[in-house]
Amino acid sequence: MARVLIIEDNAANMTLATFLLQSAGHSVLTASDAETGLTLTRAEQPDMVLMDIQLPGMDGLEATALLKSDAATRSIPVVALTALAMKGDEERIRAAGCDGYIAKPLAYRDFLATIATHLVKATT
Amino acid sequence: MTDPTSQLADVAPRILIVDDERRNAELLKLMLTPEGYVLLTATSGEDALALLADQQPDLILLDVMMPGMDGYQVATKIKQHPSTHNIPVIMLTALDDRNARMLGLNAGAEDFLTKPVDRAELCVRVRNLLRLKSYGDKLRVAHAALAVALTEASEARLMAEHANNAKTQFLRAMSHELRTPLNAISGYTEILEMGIRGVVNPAQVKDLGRIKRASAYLLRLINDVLTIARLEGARPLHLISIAVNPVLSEVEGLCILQAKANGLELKVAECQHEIFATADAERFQQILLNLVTNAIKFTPKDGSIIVTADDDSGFVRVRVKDTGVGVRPLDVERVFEPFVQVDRHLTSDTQQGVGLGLSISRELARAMSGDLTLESVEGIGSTFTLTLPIASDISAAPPTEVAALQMEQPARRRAGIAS
Repeated sequence: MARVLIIEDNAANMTLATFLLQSAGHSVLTASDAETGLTLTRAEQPDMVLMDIQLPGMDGLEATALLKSDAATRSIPVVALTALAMKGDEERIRAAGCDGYIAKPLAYRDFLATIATHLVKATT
Repeated sequence: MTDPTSQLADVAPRILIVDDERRNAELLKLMLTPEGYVLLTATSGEDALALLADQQPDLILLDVMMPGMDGYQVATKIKQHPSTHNIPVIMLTALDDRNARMLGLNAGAEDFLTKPVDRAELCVRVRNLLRLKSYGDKLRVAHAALAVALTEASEARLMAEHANNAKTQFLRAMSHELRTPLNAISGYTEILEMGIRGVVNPAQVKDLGRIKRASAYLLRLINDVLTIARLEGARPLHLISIAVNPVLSEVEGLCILQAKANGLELKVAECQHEIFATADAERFQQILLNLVTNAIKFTPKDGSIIVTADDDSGFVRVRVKDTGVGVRPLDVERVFEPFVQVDRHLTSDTQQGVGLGLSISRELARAMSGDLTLESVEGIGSTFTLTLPIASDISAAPPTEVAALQMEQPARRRAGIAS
């Protein structure tokens, strides 16, 4: 199973995503802000990053752009997990370099299916 | 608004006579007095320009040969000054002095008269030039009024844009802030329901169901508000030819249990012959579902809801008739306005919507070149009529994408955990 880094500032949602990923057999790393998330990504090389977009300080869009511009982290899929679900949000988020997009509130089956799809894509 | 040119009417035109010879000036005054003009005089060019500093005559009769400034110089000054350049000038020249006439016209004078002045000619030329001047004045006043109106309109538009931006910002923040806790609420509910945290007893299952319904309602509410504010992602309408009867029976199947639970009879009378509508299949069903569930909500026990379909002059008409509470005549159009619910007290809390369903349904119907209307008698019942363009047969209407409408039922794409 895969190692997934969750970058999320809301504790309840962090615990929820962690639980869902662990229940599907993945191991989970967590960061509650973008800077910590970037450091962890470089050091730990997870199989995937789940990125909240609205974060304190540096936001998820900027963090994604940094990951995608760095050769050491470029190939790690970044999936946005965000409550930004209005017109244009998904396009904006994908334009910033996110490989996938999941809107909150998440449906756990869709959530795990999306994660699985991107993990498969990344390994093939 | 009053006519901006009306202030110009009914005021006697004012004519300035500039001549150094008092006798000439008096003669001109005699000739013009019967015409009803207000006559002013100046005995030199300098006098005339001084007078023009605070007077605005409608026409100037200007002698050429004067001591000091001559008529050409005065005419040039008048035509150069922005406050006087619109005043028509008639030069008074010696008979057959072509050179003088050319100099006068070149200085900017509109016309000339030769001395001795002929009264009839003087009056006609003066009248003509005054008429032209009044047209010009009216045009300038109208132009100024237009400029003011344009400025006001652009200011109003700017204010509206600011207000609209503030609204968008607010809704954006609201959407994000509400979705964040909703994610945790519905996510943990699902975890509990799955029994992962331990065995859930039947009473707890019921409670969890209530939490799920409430969060689903909250999500729908957020999405409906964004839809109405046109802030949701657009899904273009996919217009195809749709057989109407199957849609009716599908809606019947979806609503029959709910109707029975409320003690209502739901009857769907399909059209005798097969009819086809040009519509987006999903939207068509969404509108009908909204109409039937509304009818169920607003019809007291033992009442009935009848759904019928027919075709008439190029349109398919689907009617949803109930024996419900109806609405007052003045509320017939109001029910289609966003956030309006006419009879809240009749619905239980769990059934209550936000009053966006009919508003969205009508917009969708109109986007598909149809309409949604209501006829109602208070206390007797309501009949909603959905009209959609008829499609003659299946092959007649190839699928068409209509991107004009920026609407969608957003819950479908990112269905919440509770839905």
